[in-house]
Amino acid sequence: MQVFKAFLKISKKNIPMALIYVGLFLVLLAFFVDSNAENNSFEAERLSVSVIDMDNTDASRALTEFIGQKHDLVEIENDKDIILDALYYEKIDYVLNINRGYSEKISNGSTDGLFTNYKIPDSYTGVFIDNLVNQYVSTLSAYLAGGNSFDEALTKTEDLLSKELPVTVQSFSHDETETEDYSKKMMYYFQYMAYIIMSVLITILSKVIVTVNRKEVRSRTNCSCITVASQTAQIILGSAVVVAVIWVIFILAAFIMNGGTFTDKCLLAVFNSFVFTVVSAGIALLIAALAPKSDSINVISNIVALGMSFLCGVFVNQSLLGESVLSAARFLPAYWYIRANNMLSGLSEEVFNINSFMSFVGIEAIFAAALFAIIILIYKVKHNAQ
Amino acid sequence: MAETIVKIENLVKRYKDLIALDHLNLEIKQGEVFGLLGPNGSGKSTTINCLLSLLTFDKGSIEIFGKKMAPDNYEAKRNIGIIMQNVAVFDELTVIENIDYFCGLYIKDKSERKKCVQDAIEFTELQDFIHFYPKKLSGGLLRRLNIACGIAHKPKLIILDEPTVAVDPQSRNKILEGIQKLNEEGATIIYTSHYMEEVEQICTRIAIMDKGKKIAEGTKDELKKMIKNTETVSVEISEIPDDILEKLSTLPHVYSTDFNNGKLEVKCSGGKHNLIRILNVLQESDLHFGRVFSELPTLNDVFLEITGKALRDSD
Amino acid sequence: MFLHNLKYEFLQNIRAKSLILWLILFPIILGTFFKIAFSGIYESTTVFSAVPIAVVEDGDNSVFREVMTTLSEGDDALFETEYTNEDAAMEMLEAKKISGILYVAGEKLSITVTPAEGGPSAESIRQTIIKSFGEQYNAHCNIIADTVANSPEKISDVVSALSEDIKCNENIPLTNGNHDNMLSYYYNLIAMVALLGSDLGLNIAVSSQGNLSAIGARKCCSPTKKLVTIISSMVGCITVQTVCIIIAVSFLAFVLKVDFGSKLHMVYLAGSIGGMLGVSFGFAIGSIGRLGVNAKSAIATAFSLICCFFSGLMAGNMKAIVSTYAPWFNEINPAAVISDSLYCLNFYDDYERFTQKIVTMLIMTVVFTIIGFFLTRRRKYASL
Repeated sequence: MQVFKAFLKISKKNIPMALIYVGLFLVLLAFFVDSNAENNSFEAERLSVSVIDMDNTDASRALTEFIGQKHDLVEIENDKDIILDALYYEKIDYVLNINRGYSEKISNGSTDGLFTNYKIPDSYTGVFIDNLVNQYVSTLSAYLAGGNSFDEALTKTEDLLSKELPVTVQSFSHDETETEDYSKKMMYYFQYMAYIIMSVLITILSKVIVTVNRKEVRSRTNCSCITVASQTAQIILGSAVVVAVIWVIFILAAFIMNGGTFTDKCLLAVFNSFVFTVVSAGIALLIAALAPKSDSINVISNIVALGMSFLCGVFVNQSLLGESVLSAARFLPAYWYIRANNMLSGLSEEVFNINSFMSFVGIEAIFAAALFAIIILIYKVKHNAQ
Repeated sequence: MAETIVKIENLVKRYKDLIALDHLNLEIKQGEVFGLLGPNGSGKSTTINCLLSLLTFDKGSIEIFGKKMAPDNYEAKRNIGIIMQNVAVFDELTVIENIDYFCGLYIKDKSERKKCVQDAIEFTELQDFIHFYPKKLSGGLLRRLNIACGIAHKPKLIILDEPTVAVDPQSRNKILEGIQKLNEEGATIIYTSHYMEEVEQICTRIAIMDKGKKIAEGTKDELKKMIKNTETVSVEISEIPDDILEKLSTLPHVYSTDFNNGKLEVKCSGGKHNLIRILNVLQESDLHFGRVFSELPTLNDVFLEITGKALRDSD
Repeated sequence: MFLHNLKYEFLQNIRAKSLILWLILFPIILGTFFKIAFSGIYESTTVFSAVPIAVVEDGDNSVFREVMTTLSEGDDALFETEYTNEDAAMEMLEAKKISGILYVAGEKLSITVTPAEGGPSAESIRQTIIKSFGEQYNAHCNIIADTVANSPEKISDVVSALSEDIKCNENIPLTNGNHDNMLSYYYNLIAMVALLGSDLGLNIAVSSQGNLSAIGARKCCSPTKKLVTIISSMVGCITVQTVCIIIAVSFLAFVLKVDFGSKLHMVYLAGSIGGMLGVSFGFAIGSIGRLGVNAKSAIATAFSLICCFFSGLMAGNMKAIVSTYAPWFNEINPAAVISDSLYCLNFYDDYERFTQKIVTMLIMTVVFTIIGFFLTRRRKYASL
């Protein structure tokens, strides 16, 4: 067990660095979770809209007021650069210019060139306000065409459009308390944990292993009576201890930060994360077995962790990624981890089913097995090459 | 009287509670090969690093070439060549590039530098390896490269801090010969080592250090005279009765006898014919013995006697 | 002396292949991944496909059916409609076969959907489409009913007013640049490459400090002034880093065809200055404390990652969140400054803001360099 002992000793020396990393990534994780956990229910969200009223008539004021009922009105200077900044930093979502002559035009039944707007093109929020304004104008002009007086039409439009369509939000957990137990926060925690655990493990484990595997040390160990299989096994065992400690820290943090209890879905999420942690450890060991120098490990770890996270839907929901990307991502373990996690909260059109959940986790396990087989093979080949 | 090159007065260096240098005084003159001898941890490297202004110290003063040594005493630095204990070369640069790089820190003129680099390569006999990367060099060659990097700019004072650690005997001899050659060409040498034989072989003057103190200084002969031992007689013998051992120790000039693992060691102080007297005793007792050596004291003896006994006795 | 140092700094950096190699590969690989992932996002959010819905009717609704049929026909159908009963509809909703249920009772519509996930997603966009349709249908029914009740003779005018394609609201583009939201990921990728150059700067500090490396000690003993060796090393590293940046930007712009706007040459400039910032940042980190190269490199990388995280490399909305809670942080976060400079270049016609960001980068570079230099300036150490 000499190699194992040496492994742990070297790991111990790396504790300060590991702590920096783990601590840091926990902070990032907290930010990730926070930035997503605002509960976006279907209730139309209030956006920040700036209205610049050049017409300044009763009609234009009525429109401004109407928008103010549905959204938050934000004052802004009519300066292109300031508006651009505000839009870019999402301080406001939309700027509506009511052009001079709005009142006159619309009472004459003309709807051309009533407004101009500034928005982030192609944005979801932009389309939202566009529709609102269109609906307003369409309704107003229809009422006017129906022979209503201008004031009447305004009132009727407002009345009509302030009536919300009744929307029922139906959630399909068989047991209401179960969704409570796997809260949004928890679910995002585990989603982003995929990225975090890969980064942390690759960085920490590969540093230790590269030290253990230094050519001189390795040759010396090879000359001893310990077999390659035993050496490799001991390195894996040593890694297991380090990985287990890190994983436990993250799981404890999950429950401390998000306040959950160990219920069915949480346990499944924990189980899923455990299997994925084993996969990540496999990736880390593989990189360490292949990495030429320790100075490149930082960059390699970034490429692997960031790349896989982008492709597999850690940073961007899988439902947004499109078929072709997802079909390629199928060949990456993080894809299955995220699918299983999505399933727990019904995200990305994923329906919970214990059998398919287990099969996803099973696929991760197959990835892990394959990785470890490759690692053992590499050590064997390297040994023979010496 | 030769010019004083290095003058260290009352140097004190503490690392927290540990006193690394304890009121050290040294004076090194032009043309000397000055040896700093002492076991590991005795303060040799600390002395060198203080001398080079790499380390701060708590008390005392250091003068090199008659001027106070300071980090910005570039004139002094220009004339010092330093060969560190650790090999300090760039892995990414070849032998000749490494030498040129370090030489370039001292000599700006290109053609002059080119000649210096060439000389250093010839001096260390690295001609066949100039385009090798350090990783491909054997331990001995690497040490020679380390030396070449330190001396290429033809310094007046060369400081070698254990340059022969982990070097095979052949390379070591080459290195030692080289040092002597440098000395003959006019350089003053400071040489630290814990190998007594090396120091004895090349140094003209030696200071022995232990626990941060200078415990003896002088030429090797002077040092040897400091101790009472003048001759050690060792005899290979299978067994020796206690009464004979007793008898040996009462012989004139003999001050210590010791029998261990079939080897009898008798230490004498002064007097002539010690060997004959000892052998006579053995013969009279009808004891059979094997090989017999009579050795003059070495620096090893000096060190052992001063640190191992004298020092502790005076405690 | 300066050139002498510079020459060997180059040689070292170029021959220490692995780091440079990965610095070059990093943006190439990740940029490609981004491209792949984002093309998918475009596919699923912008390329429209009919929204599957179920309609549960109560009574006869011929008008609704007629409208629905029009909307469900043809290649550009809005809905894929199935008429069914409530139980079956609920089942389909649970199985996520449909995005929502429309209940039609006379002229009253209501809809049922599943809880939306956070942030925009394909599903929430579909839900919005259903809701807008429902609202519009309700509104139109109301208006027509109102007209029929009050002035039935005007019904044709009203219907034509309702069916008129309204072009009342014109978008004024704020910029001539490319406004693809995904562009900010590429900006941050360049920022990351720039900051990863800190590994190069780190080595300058370590190899010039007597207490950190044997080579540093040897350099300290030479008569060459530290300022000279350090500045020449900086110049060497910055040049190498600039080459890496140029390769990265060229790859993104010409191979992946990322549209950085019309001022591509300035993107190179901003990236290169960002690279200088990265190198000087590494130099400052390297000169602090006595940790070894590996530990410092880990710290520098971790720091670069955090900066890029808050600048939006991993979560695109992070910069907006920072600007709400701590706007000053966007001004001093190196990654944010680098990516903002590229954004300004693309979005604004004049160079005012861009220049401001570039000046910020230069100031940071100088500050980091000065910090580094003050800390490595020393030649005497308490212990080695």
